[in-house]
Amino acid sequence: MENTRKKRQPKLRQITAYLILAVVLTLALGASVAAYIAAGDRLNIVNRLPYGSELQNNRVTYSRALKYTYLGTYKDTIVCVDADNNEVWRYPTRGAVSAIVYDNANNRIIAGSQGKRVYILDGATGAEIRTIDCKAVVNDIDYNEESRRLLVAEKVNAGKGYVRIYTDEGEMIASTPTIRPANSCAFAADFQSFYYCSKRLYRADMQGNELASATLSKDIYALDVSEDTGRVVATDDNGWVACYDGELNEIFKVAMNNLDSDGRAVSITRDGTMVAAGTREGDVFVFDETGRTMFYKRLSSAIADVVIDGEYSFVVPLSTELYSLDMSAAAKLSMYSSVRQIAKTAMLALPLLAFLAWVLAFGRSRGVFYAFCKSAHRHRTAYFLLLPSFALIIIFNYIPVGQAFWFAFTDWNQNTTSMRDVEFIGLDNFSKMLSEGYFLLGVKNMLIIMAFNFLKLLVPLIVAELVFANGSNRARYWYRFLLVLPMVVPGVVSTLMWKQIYDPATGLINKVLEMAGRPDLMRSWLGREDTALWALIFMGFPWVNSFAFLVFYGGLINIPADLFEAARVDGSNPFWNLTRIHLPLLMPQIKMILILTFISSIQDYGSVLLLTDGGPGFATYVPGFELYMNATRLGQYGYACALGLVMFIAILAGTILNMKIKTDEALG
Amino acid sequence: MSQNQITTPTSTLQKAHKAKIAKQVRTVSFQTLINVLTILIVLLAFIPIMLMIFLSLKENIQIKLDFWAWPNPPAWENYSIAWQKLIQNMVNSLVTVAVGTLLTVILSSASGYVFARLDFPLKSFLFMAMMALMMIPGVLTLTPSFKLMQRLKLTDTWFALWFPWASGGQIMGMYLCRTFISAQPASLFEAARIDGATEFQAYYRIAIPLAKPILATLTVMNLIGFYGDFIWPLLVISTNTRQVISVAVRVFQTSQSATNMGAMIAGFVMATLPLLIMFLASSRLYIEGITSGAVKA
Repeated sequence: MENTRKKRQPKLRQITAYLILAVVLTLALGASVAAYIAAGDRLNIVNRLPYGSELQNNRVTYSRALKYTYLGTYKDTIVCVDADNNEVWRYPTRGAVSAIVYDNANNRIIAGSQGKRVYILDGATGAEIRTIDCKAVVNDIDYNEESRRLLVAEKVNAGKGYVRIYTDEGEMIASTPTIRPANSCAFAADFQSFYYCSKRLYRADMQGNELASATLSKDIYALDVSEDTGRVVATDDNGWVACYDGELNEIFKVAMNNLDSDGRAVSITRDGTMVAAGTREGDVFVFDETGRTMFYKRLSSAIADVVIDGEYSFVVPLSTELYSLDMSAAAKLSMYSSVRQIAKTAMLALPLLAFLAWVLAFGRSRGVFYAFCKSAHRHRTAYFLLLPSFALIIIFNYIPVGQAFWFAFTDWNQNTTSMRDVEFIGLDNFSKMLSEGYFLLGVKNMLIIMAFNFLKLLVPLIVAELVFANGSNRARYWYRFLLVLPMVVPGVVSTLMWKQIYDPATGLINKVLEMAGRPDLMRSWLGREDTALWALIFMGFPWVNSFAFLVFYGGLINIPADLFEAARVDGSNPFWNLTRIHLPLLMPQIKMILILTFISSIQDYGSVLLLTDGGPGFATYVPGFELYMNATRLGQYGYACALGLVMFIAILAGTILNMKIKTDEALG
Repeated sequence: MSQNQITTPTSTLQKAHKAKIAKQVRTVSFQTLINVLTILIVLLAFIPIMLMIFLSLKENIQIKLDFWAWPNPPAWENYSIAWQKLIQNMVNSLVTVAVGTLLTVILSSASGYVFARLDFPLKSFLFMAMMALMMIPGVLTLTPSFKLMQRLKLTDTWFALWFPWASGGQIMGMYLCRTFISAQPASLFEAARIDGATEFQAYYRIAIPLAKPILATLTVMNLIGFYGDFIWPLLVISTNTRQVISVAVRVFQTSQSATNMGAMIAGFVMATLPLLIMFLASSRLYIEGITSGAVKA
């Protein structure tokens, strides 16, 4: 008794230690989950404002003194809204409002319209103080409060524009012609020069002489100047955002998306510490002063304007909505995102550690665990060699398969910004297939193609028999080699070669018909609804499928020779040999080729994509092509997954049927 | 009947001789027929290839105005145009396909060896987990795989080709290697173990050298498959200087088809050459690999 007690004592202490560790780790896990969720909530700094201008918003500005927000809309109106979200006044303009700034010194609104006019209004009442008629469409304006000068970017036509300086009385004092109309313009912070952008970003002195210029990857769409630091930011049509110092020396340059996106608006804070930008695709980005992305969100419509200045920070999409940017939260964004990152790592690591601690805390499970470790160690080579294979198939096969099954029942599409927004929609995708009609049309074409693909398999079978029946070893070798050789032509090349053969003007078929004196039969084989599908089916004539040929031929040469010997003794003839020996013994090969043809007929759309794009009309539309279109150009990812799922089920059903026939035969 | 035959030996002999000659004539005519038919099919199968070589040597104007005329003089400049436009993509293809195939073969041989030779807990479960993927068609995972590449920020890099190629290619490869390595004599591995070789040494010192024929078949199969892959590179690679030849040929075709058909078709010939060279070197291995009977349902 004494003895066992002594033995147990340390073990008990060990168990207690493991128990405490397990509890601590579990609590830590809970805490990191909570931290992850809490940090996630604070990561959104874009909030919708309750303004209901019910007009298409285009530009925004604000008055700190009056606490008013002013919206310039596409529907030829300026709307003033107070801090309680009530509309104060409304002023109709001539043409859509393309620019709007606030004059804090005199509490005036200065707005430019596409109706070739600049309006100066009283900020509090909306009363018109002055209108200035410009000679061209106003693209953008800027205003300097001390000198009361107005900078206007004007567009005459797509190839001609001006950047002009006016006094606030409407007197033009400088005019600079630009080769292309400037999209945006702004005074430099020191008021010694101004910036404008069209193809490039230019800096010019007050007389309009160019001092410096900078390029991005494409036409520059918007720019902004930081009042305190003099920094300039710009965004281009490829979604690049760049920040320059006052002399246009680059400070940083970042791309807003790795795919094409068009930069539409950009803004920098007064102190130059933060940059915000928006794209036509609806993306909003916030960068810090080094160009690191601090925040990203995709809104549902294109971004028209972004303004960031402390509590007056707005995102204006081209819709009736208006969003605020919480810049005080933005300052802490990096902290929250690192908290979230740490919590995420902890959430991955802690469950394993906690599980281990719980396992070790109890005698029985500890025994199992030790046995497991021992066995894993003994078989370490096997697991080690399998590790890379399984890492790959889990990430690149199992995860996509799982996602395909799940997303087939969701509305995932190109407007989905975060995977959390994907909604479950039940069988809607599948009923869409039946109701929309394209899918059924595709299935019809696919079935026709598949039937002919099965028929075409006779060719490799006959050719295999022909080569097999040849008496000369040498001839067999060369035929086999020559029949397999066309396989080296890549699929794209042979498909495009057939495009040449079908070409209406220089194609082989039409040239042959012309030479044969039947020009009446010449036609655009792929361009007509009545021939396009048949042209696709005829493609590859004489349809010697190298792989099928080799498999059939391999099957034939592997038939034991004594079978033929026995048949010969029994007085067999070649026909008898074919039907009673060749075909039955080739059944496994025939079946395999049939099932492979079935699978590839359902999936294949390469030739449709290369030759006809599903047309003319929908004459060559197939389900695989519809899937491809939805997964790419149409951006209906959920629907594409549903199409994939249906095709998978069809393939599975066919394969199982095939296997069942085989087992039935084996049993019978 | 038999009585009759025995009594007249001369006539029987004559008859037999006649029958033999008749049979020979029949066999010869039968063989001729077979040869004619086969040659006809071979010729038909080569029409697109002949046409390709023929047109690649003609100038645009010759193709449009005098289609059937012999290319005289041959327009070799078609090839220099195609070479300039496509050489970058050709190199890209050779590099990506070589790396992808190497990865696939290494992974296939490793997992094939493990499943053929070693016993360990969860073996059959892991084997089935791999084999089950053979049932999954490419269309099912096309969309999620493409979006996965975007989220992993692999789009427009060659990793977006290598990972899915290796991951998908190793499944069939594992199966073929497993079958082949299982057939290797177990006594070899026993002897190695007695001599103190580790499992890993047994893998790369014994199993791999012996599995060379199947590895060669696998290499050729994957080279042809990856080289001809069109839709996946089209989706994931967007920069033309990183694009592979199969997509580049399509782009080249779109840009040249109206103005310079000869150069376009010279591009087709160029895109075919690497596989042709590879195939001439290894056709025997490939043909034997498939006809050996290993491939059947």
